[in-house]
Amino acid sequence: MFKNYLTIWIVLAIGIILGGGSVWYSLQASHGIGGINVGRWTAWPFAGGAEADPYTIAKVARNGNIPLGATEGLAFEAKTDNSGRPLIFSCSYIISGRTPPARLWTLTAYNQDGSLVTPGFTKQSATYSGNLLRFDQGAFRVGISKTPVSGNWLSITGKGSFYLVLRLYDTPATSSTGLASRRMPAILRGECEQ
Amino acid sequence: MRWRIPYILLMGVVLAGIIHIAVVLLIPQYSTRDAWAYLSGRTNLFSFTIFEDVSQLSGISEVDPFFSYGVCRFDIEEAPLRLVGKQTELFWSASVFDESGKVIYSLNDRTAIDKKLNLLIIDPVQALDIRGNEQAEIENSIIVEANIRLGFVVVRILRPDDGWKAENQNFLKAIECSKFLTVEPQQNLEN
Repeated sequence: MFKNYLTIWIVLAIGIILGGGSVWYSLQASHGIGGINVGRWTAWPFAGGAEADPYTIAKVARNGNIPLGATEGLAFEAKTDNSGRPLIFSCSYIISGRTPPARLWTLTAYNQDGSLVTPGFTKQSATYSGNLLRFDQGAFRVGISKTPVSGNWLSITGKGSFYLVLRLYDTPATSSTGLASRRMPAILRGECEQ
Repeated sequence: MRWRIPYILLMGVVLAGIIHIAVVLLIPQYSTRDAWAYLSGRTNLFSFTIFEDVSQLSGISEVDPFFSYGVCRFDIEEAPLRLVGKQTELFWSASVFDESGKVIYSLNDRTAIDKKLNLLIIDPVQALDIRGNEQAEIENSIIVEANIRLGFVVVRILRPDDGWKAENQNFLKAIECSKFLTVEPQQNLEN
């Protein structure tokens, strides 16, 4: 009798831990189901369409955000730098390169819970493509740090880690043909506080 | 006895599979953090609520600080929704969501007719009514046929800097989110 109870408990424990854990993993991991990766950036292009898969819908509901519709744009999320290290407030970063074609884009820093990072000096911890200084041929460079840098600067303050979301508005990148020419800026780590 | 451990493991994995599928499908229904739950408490049906500043949307994660948001909640069973706006220089876009947060339809100023927000959201039955008697009023409307009852439309408009604040606010203030109720009077005339 005792053995039967034990069997049931073990089966239940395996089921709950494995079942719950796998859901958590598939919704949490940046390489989640339904996502596409470009460098360290991940986008969920199907979040904005009627054919969204159950995982994408569950992720949206769990995160509590309002996804961009396919015609509105596409959001790319990055949690690590190009070497795969998490983005942390005590380091400075440089975002450099190009984005896929879009009418405009914004780059925003978020705390782990999805709230906006508090800027140190500027009004927002975000940049907008229309207000950026650029190099020839559309390449750009944005510094992310606590202390001011020359050129484009995304000012941050906080402790622990953060993540970046680059939103392309009105972009062909949401269509299947647009996905062919994917390119996203690099995220390079600079100096870190001790 | 030899088969007892593999048997337990197999049962556990099968149960895990069932739990996995159930949880994924139930999250949208039971999530208390989702955008719908947050917005339902702060908006009324068939009225346009403006969230000028992202600080007013603290319950929504990952808002874009360069945008202002407006929300229009609807119940198609009650009446079709008509959403009308005016032209602006600023980039704007909108998405129609169902209750679970799934995007039914989305557009931006470039894909809109005359660069104006002009949407009519109806269910398939109402669509038949409207097709039956074409109305000049909705000639320029994008008609979205949705087989849903409850939903909401989120309008986003760019706010590059404070210099654009007035233009941004004028656009949002001019948006009308109302019931579309012109089918019945016409039927009365025929009688």
